Amino acid sequence: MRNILQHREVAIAAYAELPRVRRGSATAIELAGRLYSEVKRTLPLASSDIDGMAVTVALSEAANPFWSNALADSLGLSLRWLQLTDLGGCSPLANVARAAMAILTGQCETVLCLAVDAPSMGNPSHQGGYKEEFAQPTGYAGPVSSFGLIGSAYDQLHGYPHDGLARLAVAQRQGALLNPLTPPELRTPLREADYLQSRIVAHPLRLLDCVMQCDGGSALIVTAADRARGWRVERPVFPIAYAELTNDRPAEAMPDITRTGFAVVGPEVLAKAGLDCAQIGAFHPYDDFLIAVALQLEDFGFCPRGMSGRFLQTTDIAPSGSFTINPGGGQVSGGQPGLAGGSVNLVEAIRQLRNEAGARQMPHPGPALVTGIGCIQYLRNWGTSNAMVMSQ
Amino acid sequence: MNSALTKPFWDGAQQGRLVIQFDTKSGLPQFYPRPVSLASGSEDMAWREVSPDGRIAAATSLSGPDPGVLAMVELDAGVRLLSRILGDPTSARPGARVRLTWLPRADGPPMFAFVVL
Repeated sequence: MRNILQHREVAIAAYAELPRVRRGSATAIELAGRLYSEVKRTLPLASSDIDGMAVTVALSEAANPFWSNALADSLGLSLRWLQLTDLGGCSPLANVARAAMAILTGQCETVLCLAVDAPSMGNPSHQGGYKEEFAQPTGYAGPVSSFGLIGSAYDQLHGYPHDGLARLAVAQRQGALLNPLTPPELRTPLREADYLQSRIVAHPLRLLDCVMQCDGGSALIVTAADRARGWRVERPVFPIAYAELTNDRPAEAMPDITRTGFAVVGPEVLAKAGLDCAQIGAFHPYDDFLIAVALQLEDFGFCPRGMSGRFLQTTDIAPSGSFTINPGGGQVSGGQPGLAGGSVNLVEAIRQLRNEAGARQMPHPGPALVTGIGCIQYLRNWGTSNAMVMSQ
Repeated sequence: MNSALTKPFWDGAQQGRLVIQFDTKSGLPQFYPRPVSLASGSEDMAWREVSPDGRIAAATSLSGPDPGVLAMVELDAGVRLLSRILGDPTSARPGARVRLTWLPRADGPPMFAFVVL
């Protein structure tokens, strides 16, 4: 498959990210305004230089059928290319890829990628379909129930990796404590025993397996590499490979739900980047639940199937370690800003690659591998898997 | 809430029968009801009654106001259903054989749940 990113013709020129707050007082539009103003300040950029925008769906604005247009109008942007992506946690990463496609095919020159959500201000989203008819009447509690079932399936095959996930929880919390954007609720040190003793919320999942929802978001400026050089961007970040898959083996009625779309996306994105697992400097996997990180380690091939627990126990995964996972705390220790959640680990990867991660700066942050997980399916795992390799 | 697409399922439920979709050509079953066959992408599908028996393939717990066991049940017919498991939660373990039962609802057709055999 062709890799349109291989020549490093597109760059992430700037980023901005908001502190994550559990109960906010600003709408997603207000958050977008703050982000846009902040990201623009870092570049010699007039509003008229931005001629493309890619945005994510916001839970708090899910009743608005003209959300991307509302954002464009609020920010005063005149756009040749406007994209709304509804791939859930995959959307922020997918938007960088879509922005690159738009730039490389001449649809526009400079794209504002915006991911904002303020679910504490309200969530009018409604999914209908099978959820209403066949899930809600069972007492199904949303993603936590689905990941409980995935955890149960994993437990039968290999044993639930409690001890490895305890180590992951502690390592991510170490990063979160060094991250000024971490919300106050998650600013407490964590021991493995705290994870192992936290209450069961959906067997075998414990409270500290799960994300805390919050408000927040990020903005990126994606443009042609030449243009970024013209702006004298000191440390542009280059997406060098991307892969995405929606629905893995949909025709199989009873697939192994511990195998995910990353079994396809992982090898594909690494092959496009010309890398193997051992060459990845930092892994920034989407982490709505810790077991999702374990499944990704196996599907990418960082360890054999069933061995992620041991891998997490025997590898130095801390922010200062030899194979760092989510050095900024990820979402599990940093909060999940609704459907903008996929931008938390994406922005951390960019920050690390630019050597701007402060006390948690990794010595070798690249190449960075970032992933997204989007949407929950009926008795499978997740709908969309995506991954991007980025480098300095 | 129920559309023409899922009407045969709920009509079956009213009669205490478990009726699911099959691809007419390949004979492959599917659940939940889709507008096309997952095997062929065509609308060439038939509804047939299947055995209410199966096994728990995975199980999790529901906390909150209505606690219980939520399971991924594999029917002997070859499809999976998301369902609550009634009765003693300690027996509602993966691997347990289960049978579907219908629970009346005030606001619609009966909803299924499973009991451990």
